[in-house]
Amino acid sequence: MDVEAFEALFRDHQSEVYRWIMRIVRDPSVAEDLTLETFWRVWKAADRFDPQRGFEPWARRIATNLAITHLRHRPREIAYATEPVAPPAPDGAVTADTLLKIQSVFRQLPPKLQAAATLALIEEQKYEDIASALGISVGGVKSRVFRAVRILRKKLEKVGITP
Amino acid sequence: MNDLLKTALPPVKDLELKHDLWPAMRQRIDERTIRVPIWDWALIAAVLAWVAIFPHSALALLYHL
Repeated sequence: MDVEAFEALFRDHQSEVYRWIMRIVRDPSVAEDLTLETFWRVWKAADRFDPQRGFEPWARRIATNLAITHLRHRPREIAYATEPVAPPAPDGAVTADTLLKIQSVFRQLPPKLQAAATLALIEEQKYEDIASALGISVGGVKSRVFRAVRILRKKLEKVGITP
Repeated sequence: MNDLLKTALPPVKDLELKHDLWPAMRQRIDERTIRVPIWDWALIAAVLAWVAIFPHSALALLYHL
């Protein structure tokens, strides 16, 4: 693939790849870096690209692997107060302290489960798209989401939150 | 659980790329692509020609590498 052809491919798909990564890592500067890294790997492996399988699924899979690697290496802990930072909220409302605890517990999930849960439960992406990006079956995605929810429930109960 | 999660971690709203990433990509390609200067190619060609003309010199060349 020559540089001109690659540039056209890059310009056509950079936004979609960025959006996909952004949904997982939730940080614009990291998403930009990982978008560049995704396309760098595409450039290096261009000879292995199979046009019949489509560019988007291939790029999305590379991007997802990079995003999961990023989740694996970023700090998992978010410091949160052990004492409530705000007075107890009225019934049904969620305090800032509770939100911090949920975020912290979510970030402690194993990266593969975290990515599946983020895409399925928070970003509401199609299970087929998630399965393709993770390189597993739709059943595999459902299993990961189920395991993620189970771990979340247990850990939230430990910090005094009953979902 | 879903509602609680979405309250703590709302779906990302701003998903638009703020600027074109192509210039950065192009720079990376230019920086990381190995370029062999023309004088290096000339040297390689000269050595190969020397070995082709004088095959016995290959051993001496290997000895000095």
